Amino acid sequence: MFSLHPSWTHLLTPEIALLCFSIIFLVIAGLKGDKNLRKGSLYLSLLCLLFTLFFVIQLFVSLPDKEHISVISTSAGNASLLIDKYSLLFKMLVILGGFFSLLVSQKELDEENAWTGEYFALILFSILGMMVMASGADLLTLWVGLETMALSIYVLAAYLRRKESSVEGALKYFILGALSSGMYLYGVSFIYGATSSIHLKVLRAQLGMMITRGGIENIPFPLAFGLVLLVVSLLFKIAIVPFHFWTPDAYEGATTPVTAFMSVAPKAAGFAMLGRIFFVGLIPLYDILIPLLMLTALLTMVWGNIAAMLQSNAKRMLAYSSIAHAGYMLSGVIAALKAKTDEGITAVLFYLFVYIFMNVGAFSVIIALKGNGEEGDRMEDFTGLFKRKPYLAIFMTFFLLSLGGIPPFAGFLGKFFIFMSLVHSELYLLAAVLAITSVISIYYYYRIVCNMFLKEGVEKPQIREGFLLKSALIIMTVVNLFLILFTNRIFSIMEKGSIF
Amino acid sequence: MIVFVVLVSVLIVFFSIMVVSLKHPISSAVSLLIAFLLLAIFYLLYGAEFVAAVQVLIYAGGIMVLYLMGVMFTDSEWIKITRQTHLQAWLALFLVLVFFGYFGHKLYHSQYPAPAVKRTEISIAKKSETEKKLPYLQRETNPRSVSVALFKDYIYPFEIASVLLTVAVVGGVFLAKKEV
Repeated sequence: MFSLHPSWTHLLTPEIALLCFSIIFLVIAGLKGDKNLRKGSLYLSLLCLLFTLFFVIQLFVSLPDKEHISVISTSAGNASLLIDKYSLLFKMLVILGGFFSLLVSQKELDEENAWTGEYFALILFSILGMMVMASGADLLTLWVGLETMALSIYVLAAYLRRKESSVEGALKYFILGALSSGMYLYGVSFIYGATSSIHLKVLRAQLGMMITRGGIENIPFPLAFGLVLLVVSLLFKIAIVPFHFWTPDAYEGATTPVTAFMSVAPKAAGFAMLGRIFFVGLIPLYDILIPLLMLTALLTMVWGNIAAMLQSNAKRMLAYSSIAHAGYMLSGVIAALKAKTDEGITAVLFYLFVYIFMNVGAFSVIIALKGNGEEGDRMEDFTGLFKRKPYLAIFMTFFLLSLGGIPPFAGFLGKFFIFMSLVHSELYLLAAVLAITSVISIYYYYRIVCNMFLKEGVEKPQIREGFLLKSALIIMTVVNLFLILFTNRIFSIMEKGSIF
Repeated sequence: MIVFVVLVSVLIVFFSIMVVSLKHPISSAVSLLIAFLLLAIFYLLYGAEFVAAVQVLIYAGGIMVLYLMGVMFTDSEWIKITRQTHLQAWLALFLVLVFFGYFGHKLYHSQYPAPAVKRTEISIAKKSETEKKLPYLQRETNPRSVSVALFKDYIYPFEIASVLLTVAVVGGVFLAKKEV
């Protein structure tokens, strides 16, 4: 029977609040251009995200562990929206990613003279979409959340409309994204045809029944076809290798804070959705899913790192490195699928948390280098940075070493937990490839470090960061350096994000 | 009935191909209109008269007007000089035929399993007092099941869809604006 949870307003506070906040920015977008008002909207948007984060944390603390609360149930009694610690943790990650991307946007918006209210509204709307993705429990809710996120990001990717590369990257992203959405819907229509339900729980029950009756071969072809399309479109959204072609162009063309946002928040939301679909809906199929995902994860780790070595543009390089990082995270998901424990999921959550700080950090150094008509994202722009701005070079070194997974830094811990979960679920091949490709990745991260410290750069004008960018850089450096001291505490929080 | 279904399906596919292969935008738009109307007939054949009505009203009525307005505002001179295909077209056509041949064959010869859940998704579990008094409300009608699905079962995605549309409008206006 159809029912709403009695305290649904309480459970949906973060979403409702965020929706109201984003509408404020639409109003600001319509006001005539007073520059101070527009700059004030940056602080306002940061405040809004902090409020939303506060609501999510409040819910997280008040919710019992390992309980999946169904906010809306359909007439047939299936949950279509779940609030649990898993979804709340992913919501926190998404909001944090959005918060730090906004924190570093001031300088870029000044340089491009592109202050608009729409920028903030679209970022907030896309975060709302990601929050829906994190807690949806049927394929329709998940899709609507996904599209809300994706549409906002297509527009954000084309934010600098006068720049050709920006429009090109955004158009590629849009066309391929529309294709993958079409694949998702086409797949779901087959799944609905075969199971007459779009609820993940029902799908799991029916798959389980079919497999116990007659094994994998008992799954009818239409259902299998739909499932393949569904999985492919999910892998597309998190840029796993055979489906990654949009990533470098979209990342390079977009304005750098948007690139930072695109590389952390949608990835977290994509993994939330992937985890929900795999562990609630498709878990009976683990026999077929594991080798399939293993192949893509191996390809992703290897090709992401090799292609990153060949790049001469720092943003493109970070785009390929983000593909490689998605491969590491996918390995964590595979570990959880194989062992059927939460260990892999915890590792992925931890990795995503750390990834926000190291990746947005690296992008914010690129933002700091921009100025005087230069993009600041070519490899040459880093030469002699140590002489010009010593602390910026040192910060960048920290972020890159963290991305490469060198021990005292936060990135090492992320990789370590994923490695351990792989070893515990006896996926030694993936563990070995993860370790080897991490070593390869150090080569291209080190190239930038080399440029910054060892080479003499030409004389260049002074670099000016704003107050916000400076504080963001300091926060992210501190987190990267000292996270290791709080590993236990953060790990125990992430452990609560249980899906089983 | 099956004859009609096949006929309508073939016509829909034909006019959809015409949409992308005709050169002049107005002819494409008219083919699209015909495809939309045929789709409405297709829905009618399967007894979904509400969806058919909505299809005619919204797609054939509303969206087509927008398309034609769009065509009216664009310059159609460049159409004469642009090619509609490129080198990969034949390879793509070949792959598409192989793909659809294989999967179409497999899908045609595979059986859909009997639905395990018997329309419970859209059936009404409990009837209220007003519903008992008014017999026509008890019938499982098309608009009724659609509205139960929209405003009860899938109320959350329905509400979020309004956000989605807002984003689409804001994004479209933003990208088409002259000044940043």
